[in-house]
Parts: sequence; C-alpha cells; structure tokens
Amino acid sequence: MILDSILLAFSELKANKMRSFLTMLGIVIGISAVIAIMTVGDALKSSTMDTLGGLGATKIYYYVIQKDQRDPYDDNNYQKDTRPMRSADLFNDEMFEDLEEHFSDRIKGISIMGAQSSLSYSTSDGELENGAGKSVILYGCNQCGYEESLREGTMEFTYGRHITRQEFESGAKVIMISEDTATAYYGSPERAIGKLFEGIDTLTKRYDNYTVVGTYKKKSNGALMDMMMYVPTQIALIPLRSLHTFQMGDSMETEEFTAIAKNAEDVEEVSKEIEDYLNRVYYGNNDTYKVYSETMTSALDQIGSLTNMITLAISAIAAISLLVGGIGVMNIMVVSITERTREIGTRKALGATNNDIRMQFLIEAVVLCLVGSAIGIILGLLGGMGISSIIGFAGHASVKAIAGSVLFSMAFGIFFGYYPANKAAKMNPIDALRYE
Amino acid sequence: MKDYNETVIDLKGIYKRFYEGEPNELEILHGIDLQVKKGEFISIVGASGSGKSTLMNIIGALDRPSEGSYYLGGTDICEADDSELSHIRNKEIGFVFQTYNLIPRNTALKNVELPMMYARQSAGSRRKKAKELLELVGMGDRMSHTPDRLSGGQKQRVAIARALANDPSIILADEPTGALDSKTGRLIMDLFHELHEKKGITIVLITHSPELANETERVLTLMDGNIISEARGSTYDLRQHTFGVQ
Repeated sequence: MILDSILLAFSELKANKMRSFLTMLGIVIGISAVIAIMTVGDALKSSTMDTLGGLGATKIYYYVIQKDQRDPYDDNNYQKDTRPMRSADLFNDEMFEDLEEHFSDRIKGISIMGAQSSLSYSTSDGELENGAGKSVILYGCNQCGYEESLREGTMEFTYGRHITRQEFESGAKVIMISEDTATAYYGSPERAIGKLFEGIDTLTKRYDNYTVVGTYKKKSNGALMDMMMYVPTQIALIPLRSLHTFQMGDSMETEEFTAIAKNAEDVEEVSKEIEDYLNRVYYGNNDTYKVYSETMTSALDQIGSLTNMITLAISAIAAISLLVGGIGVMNIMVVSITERTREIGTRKALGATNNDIRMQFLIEAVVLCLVGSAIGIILGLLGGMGISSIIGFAGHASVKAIAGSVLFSMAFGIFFGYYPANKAAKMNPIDALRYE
Repeated sequence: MKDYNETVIDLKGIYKRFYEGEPNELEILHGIDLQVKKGEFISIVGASGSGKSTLMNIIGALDRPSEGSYYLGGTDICEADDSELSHIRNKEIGFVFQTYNLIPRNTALKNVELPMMYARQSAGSRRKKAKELLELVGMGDRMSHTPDRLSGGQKQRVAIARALANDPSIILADEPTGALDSKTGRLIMDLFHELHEKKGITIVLITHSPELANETERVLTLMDGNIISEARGSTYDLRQHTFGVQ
C-alpha cells in the first residue's frame, strides 16, 4: 500500500516534470546551500585547525597593549589620546634573558621577529621601476625566531647557507632574501650567494648594505592558509642586532615577541604564567601599558567562531529558501489535488478510506521534498567539494548534514503536505466524482 | 425468468432531503422501496431530475438516506460511519461510470488492481486476479496500456473489470454506454448480459434510455422521486450476441 503510494508519487512527479522541478527548486537551492556550506565549512575548519595547530601549537604571542584593552584587536577600549609608547614600555633584552632563565624548563626559547625597516634597491637591469625601484622589508630576528620561521613556518631554505649563531650574536650585516628578490636583483638565486645587497634604507634615507648568505622560497600550506598567513616575498631576514647596533643603539626593544613552549599540552598555562610574571615584575608600575598573551588555541577559537557565524548566516538564508520551497510544495499540492478531484472521488468510490487518501498525498509531498533534497545534496556536495578544492582543501561529505537534510525534508513534506492531503481526504466522494 | 431467493439490496421507505431544516429544504426521494435479489439484472430509468443520481448514490453507499432503512448484503448502511462506508463500497459494490473514471497514468492492470489494493490484498494475488479479469472482459492484450491509449469502449471494459475486482455483491452501472457510440455501447451492454447470464453477477443499471432498460429483467421507472412503475424487460436474447465470456 505504502509502496504503491510511493510508486504512484514518482509517476505523478514524472508526469509533471517541469512543474515538479520548479516546485522542488526552492528545496534544491536550500538544501544544496546548506550541504555546500557544511562541506566547505568542515573542510575549512579541520584543515585550518590542522595547519595552524601544526604550525604554531607551541607558540605563545606576547604584545604590549593599553591597560583598558581586552586584547590587541579591542578598538572600543583603545585610548587615542594616551601617551605613546616609550622605550620603557617595550620588551627588551633584559626581560628576554630573565624569561629564558626563569622559565627554562617550560619554554624552548624566545623568538623575536618583526619588520623594522625596508631597503629599496635597483633591479638587475639597472632600471628603477616607476622611478622608485623595488624594496625588501627587513625582518630583524633573533636566532630562535629565524629557526622557527624556516623550520616549521612559511619559508623554506633553498640556496647558500644559514645565518650562524656568531652572526646573530655579533649583529653581522648578513641577509637572507627570497628567490624572487634574488632573481630580480642578481638574475638567479644561485648568483646571489655571497654578493653584496645594496640599497637605501627607507627610514633613515641612508645607503646601507648586507651580504647575501642564502635564499628561501615560500612554503605553501594550502591556498587559504597562504592567504591568512600571507608572506610577501619582499621579506628579507637579518640578525636583529644588525639593525639595532647600527641604527638604534644597543638595546633590543620590541612591542611583540613569541615564546616557544616545550610542550604543546600546557601552552595555555605557560602563556598565562609568563603574562602574569611580566605584568607583575615589569609592568606593575606602568601607568598605561600591560602585557597580553595569545596562543594558537585562542586564535583557532576565533576562526572557529567566525566560520560558525558564516555558517549560521548562510543557513539562515537557506532556511528562508527552504521555507519558500515548502510553501511552493504546499501550493503545488493544493493545485494537484484540485486537478485530481475526480480521481480522488473515484478512489473513494472504489473503497479508499480518508486515511488512504491522506496517506497517498502526504507521501507524494514527502517524495517531492525528498527528491528535491536528494538533488540538493548532490549539487551541494559537488559545489562544496569544488569550492573546497579551489581553496586548497579536501572537502568531506558531512554524514550528519546529509542525514539531517533527509530527515528535515521528510518533516518538511509532512508539514507542508498535511493541509492539502487532509483537504483531499475530507472531500465528499459525490461532489468529487461530479467535479468537472 | 429465473428464480432468485437471496435479497442483496433492501431499501425501505428511503427519503433523501437536502438543506434539512433550512428554508430551502429540498426533498428528492419520497419514500423509495426497492429489493434486488442476488443474480438479478435490473434497471432504473428516469429523466434527468427524477432522482436517479441521488438514488444511485444511496445504493452505492456514497451517501446516507435522510430517512428509511438500507441493508446491503445484510449490512445496515444507515448506521455505518465514513470508513465503514469506504469498506462497504470496496467489498460490496463495483462502480461503472459513464465517464469511465480510470486513474490516468496508471496502466489498465494497475487500475483493476486498485480496489484490491484498498482491500489490502497482496501484490501477487491482486496482479493475478486483475489479469484474469482483464482476460474476461477481452482486454488481455492491452493490460499495460494507460487510459489515454485506450478507446472509449476499451476504457469501459477495463472499468468493468475493475468493478469486478473484489467480487462485489452488485455492479452499479451509471449510464455505462452514455459516452459511447451506439455500436460500442451495444458491445458493452452485451458484456453486461454475458456477465449476468454466465457468471450470475447482480447488476443495477441506471440509464435514461428505455430501450436499454428494456433489455434487463426488471425495469423500474423513477419520476419526481417516486418509483412510478415496475415492468419486466424481455427483448434481449443472448444467443444473438456472442461476446466471448468463457
């Protein structure tokens, strides 16, 4: 009986292909949007978590922020008219040595790396493009920061040699440039090794030079990760001391640094311990500034909540589409039942009970919704996987989302099919038989 | 004339009123008494407006009388609720309509299976029965045709096979030849006669045509909601018409 109703529903669907398709469209769009967004969202989330986690599970970032701010991105509590940072507000060598000693059993080292200045240079063909030439951004780093970025970061060492410990300590004027920069300056990465890199410091407007010891190239972590952790090839790594020694005096000062924890498990704990220590010992008397720490875990939480928000927004749109689709299904069922009034009368004359008729049209509505959702699932998966692969991740079909869609569309069919089905069931057989 | 004993339809003092209790109350049937015996072939004739359709609806358990008693095969129709009426229509009555009323997009076979489906018979047994019935009415070679690929006469034969599906107490035929040309209509009437003579099926024919009515064993004439005459029909001789019912 139910099987017969299902077969009948399919034959009705087939008989009115165009109409059925148009009716299902709302459901198709709604379900495919949900499935696509779930697929992409899942792919994004898991891959981002994997990559970010792998890249920086042990990293703890420290910033100097204003006392009223909750985090560096908190613009609401940012005071514009407060006094600017002075040398005393910044992190310095003394603190780093203290931290490395005090937390020697918890952290591997302290990584300092930051853009300090840039150097404009002329390209190999001698012409300055647009009269301005090209430039590299000088990233002064300590040895720990250098190793971190080349070992598990976004850069991959290619030619020449590494910058040595002695060079970091003495602040030697050596530089590691990208293959792109080397090609632009010298013609090829190999030819750059050992050569002098000359240019004008854009901050001091003075001539400056470094000896090229090696080159790197960008390491890809997937399109989206590359986008999020954008590494411009203009970056050039130099020993931090070479900047400070020659340009800003002897002390190494910075408003941010990264501590590398020994174990990924207690990163959060270490992060807070160091933050508290710094705030107590060094910032206790500071009237304006304090230390803020952040780990990948908190960054991951933010990304997670961002993707959740996007998912929610698109799901809301999909829900509206589904609602419209559901009303479409109801409408077409009402039309279909009116068209088939005589058929309903005949069925009743032949012995169909009200329940038989109600069941038949309910099943028809459910089949309509299910077929729509099946098409939606297929389109959604194709779309989702397509988008995922474009942004560089493997999208996985979410079994939960598919099962949910199927159940949801069944419920939808019953909900929107009930009124028309009931209308059909309650028809008076005599009137229905005479209906023209 | 054969001798019939068992009463299948027993109508006593049937009144049917519409808009009961309202100013525009309308009484269509004014106390109809009618008994049909098992195996009889009777006809009810009357002009339009005579109450034919209303009487047919009551006989067919599509409607309940306002007053009076109606027993169909021993079941009290007046006391049955909607779902019991459905059940009675399904088991006891085989409808044949003027407009065939086959389900579009369903094959002839599926159409004949329909009453058995509502009787919750298994797919196998109803398929077997439907095939037998289609063979019986001479539609064995068109079982998988949908109604839009059948002629009027063929559709009506499928409809007759469908009416026989659950071995009903009576076949209720409402102007079965009304939409057919006279030659095809003749063939359909022959089929009814054969089913009656050879299979002993009880048939109530409702028609406005006195000639067709006269072929049946008993002719009841309805006028303005009363049976005004009852006569014996006689002009049909089966031997002149061979249709092929085995």
